[in-house]
Amino acid sequence: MLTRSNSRFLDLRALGALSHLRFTTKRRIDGSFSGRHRSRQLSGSGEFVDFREYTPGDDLRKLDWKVLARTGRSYLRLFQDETDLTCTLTIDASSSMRFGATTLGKQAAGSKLEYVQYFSTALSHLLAARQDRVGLAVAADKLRQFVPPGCTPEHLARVHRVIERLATWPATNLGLSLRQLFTRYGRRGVLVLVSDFLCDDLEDAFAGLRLFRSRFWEIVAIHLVHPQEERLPGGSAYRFVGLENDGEVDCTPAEIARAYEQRFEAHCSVVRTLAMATGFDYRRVSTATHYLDTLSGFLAERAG
Amino acid sequence: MSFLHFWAIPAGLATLSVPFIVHWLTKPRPVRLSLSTVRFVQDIVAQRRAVNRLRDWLILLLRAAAIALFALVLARPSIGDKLPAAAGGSAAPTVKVVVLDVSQSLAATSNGIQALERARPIASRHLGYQADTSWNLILAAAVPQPIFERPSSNYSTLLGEVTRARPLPQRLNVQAALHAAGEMLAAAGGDKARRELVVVSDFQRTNWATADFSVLPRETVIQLESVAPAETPANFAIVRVAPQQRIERARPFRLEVDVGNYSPTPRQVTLEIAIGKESQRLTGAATAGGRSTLVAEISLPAEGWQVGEARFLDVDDALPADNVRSFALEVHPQPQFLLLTKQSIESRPSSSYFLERAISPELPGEGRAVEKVTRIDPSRAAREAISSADVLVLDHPGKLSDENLQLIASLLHRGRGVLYVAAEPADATNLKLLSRAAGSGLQLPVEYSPPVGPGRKDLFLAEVKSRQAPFTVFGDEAQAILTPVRFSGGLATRRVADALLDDVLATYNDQTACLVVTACGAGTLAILNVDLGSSNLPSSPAFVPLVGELTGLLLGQTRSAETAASGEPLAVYLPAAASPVSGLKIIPPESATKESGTLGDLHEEAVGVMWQASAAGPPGIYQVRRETQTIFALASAIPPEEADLVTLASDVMTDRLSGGRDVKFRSLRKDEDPRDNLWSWLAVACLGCVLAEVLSLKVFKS
Repeated sequence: MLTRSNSRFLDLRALGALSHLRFTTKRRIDGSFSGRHRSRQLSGSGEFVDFREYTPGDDLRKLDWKVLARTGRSYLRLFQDETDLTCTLTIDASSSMRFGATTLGKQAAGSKLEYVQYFSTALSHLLAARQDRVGLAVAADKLRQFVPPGCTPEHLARVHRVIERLATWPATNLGLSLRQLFTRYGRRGVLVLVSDFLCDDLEDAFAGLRLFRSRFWEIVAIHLVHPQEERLPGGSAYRFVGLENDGEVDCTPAEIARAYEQRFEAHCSVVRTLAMATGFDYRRVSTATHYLDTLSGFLAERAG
Repeated sequence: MSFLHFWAIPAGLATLSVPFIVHWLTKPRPVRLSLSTVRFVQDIVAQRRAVNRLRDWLILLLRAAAIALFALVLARPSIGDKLPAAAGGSAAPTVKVVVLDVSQSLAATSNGIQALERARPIASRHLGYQADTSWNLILAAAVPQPIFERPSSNYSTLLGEVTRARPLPQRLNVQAALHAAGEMLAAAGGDKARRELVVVSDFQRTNWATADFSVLPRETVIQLESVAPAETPANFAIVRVAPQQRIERARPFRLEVDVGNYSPTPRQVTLEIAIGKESQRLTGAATAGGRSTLVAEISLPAEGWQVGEARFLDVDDALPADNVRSFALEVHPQPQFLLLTKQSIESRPSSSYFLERAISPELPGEGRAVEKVTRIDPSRAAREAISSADVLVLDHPGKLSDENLQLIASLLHRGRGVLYVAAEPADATNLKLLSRAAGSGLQLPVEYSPPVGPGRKDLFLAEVKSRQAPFTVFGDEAQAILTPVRFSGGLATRRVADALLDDVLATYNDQTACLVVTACGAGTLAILNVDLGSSNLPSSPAFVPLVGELTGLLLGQTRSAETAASGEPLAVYLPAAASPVSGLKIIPPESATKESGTLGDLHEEAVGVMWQASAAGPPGIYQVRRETQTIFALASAIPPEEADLVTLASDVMTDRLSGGRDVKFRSLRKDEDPRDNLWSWLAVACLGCVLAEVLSLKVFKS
């Protein structure tokens, strides 16, 4: 596929090694056009999958005349349609995603945000390469940006550009953002949410996700964690400043290290429990792992 | 409450700020760092904030308390140090006299600290400035030495004197010090003045047992500050060196060395006795808590005064000054006996003949030294001849002249021995006149008078003090030997009222005295009441030993060693050879310094030359010389009372010796003064605070 994207986060040479992998879904999906994914529609243009007894009103064109002639009983021949995939990448763009940045400014090198930018660019490129439609939503205190799904090179370039220019906002309201995103869609698809889930109301965020789930969306929750979040830095005293206007606090990390680690693990455990309980595909991803390794593992696992 | 080192209080207050400064300086200077999970940190810190604040305050308070307690420990507080208020009220002026004991026992060390060093800060504390107070300091030893004539407000000079005070080789004359303090307190201030007496001493039992505080003004508040260590330190001392008898040239004599062992355990001690170029080692057991006498047998070849020194070789005790003692011995030539009698030398047998033979029973022979007896008629006796004799023997002397009697009396006072054989009525007169000439120094237990009625015949001894010299020579056989002896002649005797009957050593069956031996000044007078010519005593085997013992007894009184107590008044007659006084010079020991005081004066008196000094100098040998010849030698020594370091119990001081005065006693001993233990409890509390801080840090895992 020709790409018109010139995003600095797109490394085509590296992605070449992943070209054999494809994003698969566990459920049948609704699509607009013919594609490579199993459709919820069992129509007559796809691969034969089964027989079904005729019921009045069925399309007579699908009736198996040969079986009717041999047995005198009417059966329909069912064929699996294949359709395209509509995947919406939802990126948490709250300020907490800038954590880990080694540089100031928009670059945010080494931060979770940069990791998301690489990951999302690569995933969207791979999806588009399979003729799947890719949409983009930027969630912060509200739904900040939305790019409707599409699969054309121009569309992909636009998605990449939005990802490249991604900025952060000093508040998080994932619930509201997801509810606003939910109103933008009328058909089911796949929602890939990449977030650190560091928000005030986690329950509200998952309530928003459950809206999608109730409409049979397939939801992939990618929980992004920075290694420096898992363990506090060493040293005698720090004044920790919150990234989302949540104040500052003085402490000696050595005194609270153990309690902090327990608290962070508890948070991760809550996120995982909520995700798994609702039937999401949950993955905890550390920024210490290269995004290509994360992506290949993710795609390989979904492919079964 | 008062403080021994008050400087520690402001120093402690200043140091008290240190933990706060340290707390402020070590307060963490936080590094600003962005953190996405700050909400988790806030939750945890909010939970721990109360605990951390408690920990910080607790540790800060514990540190401050530890420093404050340490400062208090250094300050050495004691409760109830202040003297009780006098009845005059606080507005009245105060007169305070501090008596600082500087006797030899204050040089005793315990745990490496001299007692005087412990006394100095105590005395200085009592001389600290107070409004409306005048002070005086008395340095008390043999003679109390007040610094000022009367109490003064110049306490800084007194503090300087306390610093300069040194132990003196003298005993403490307690009563003299109390008298001096009492006179000073009585004369100073007024009727309403508050009077305080502070005594800083070790309160040795040997000195303080006879103290009497009743000489002080009645309203005086008395504070006794004991610097004696908690446990009485062991001390050994050479307390006396003296010969057993008169020392004669080339004749062995016994030198007695009294060793005091003032410790709870007996011990074997070794001494070195050095006399001139000779030295001898002496080893013996020193019994615990008392004196033991070790005896060395020595022979000195040269006549005249010999000086020597006895010292311990293997003793390391609290008071080293008394481990050595100097002594001076006079080595006499063969004794000279002067027989004053009117009997002719040719009349044999006679009383005087028996006496002469008994005194010198052996004839002179080769290599044999025998006593020389010079017979002389008293009427023709020259003064020099009488003065040069060691022992005067009077037998049938007839009526003695007053001059001779005066001379005999003075010789008696100066240490000569006189054996008087009383047989004639004239002897009664002689003895009466002799007693009169000798004055109060001679107290005869009986009065001699010519016999009245039938003559005294066939008398026998009814009572003999066989346990005393000269009868000890007979031992248990005294009765058997003396019973056959029959005495005749002699004088009638009548007991003198209130006389010392112990001087009557033998009594006849008619209750008259047979033998009287009595002291007269430094000499001894022996009166044998018998006519030897008409008695069978000379033919008895008891006669020669009896006379020998008597003359030995009389010669033994001839002084062979002179010792003076350092610091005590000195008055001693020099030998007759010392006259005239011109040309005599007193030579002090090499160790004596100019600060030791005057050596005293030599002046001529009727009975000879007297050496008189207000205080004997420091220990050592003092010699009186004429040109290079030593006429007399005197050993000055530390009084033996100072060697016994046992102290008097506090209740004896406050109850029995107080004389009705309000006496407070404070001691370094724990059992006697629990108030001074406060510092140790403060030290324990300080340590507790430090441990509590460490424990807090452990508990809070900081």
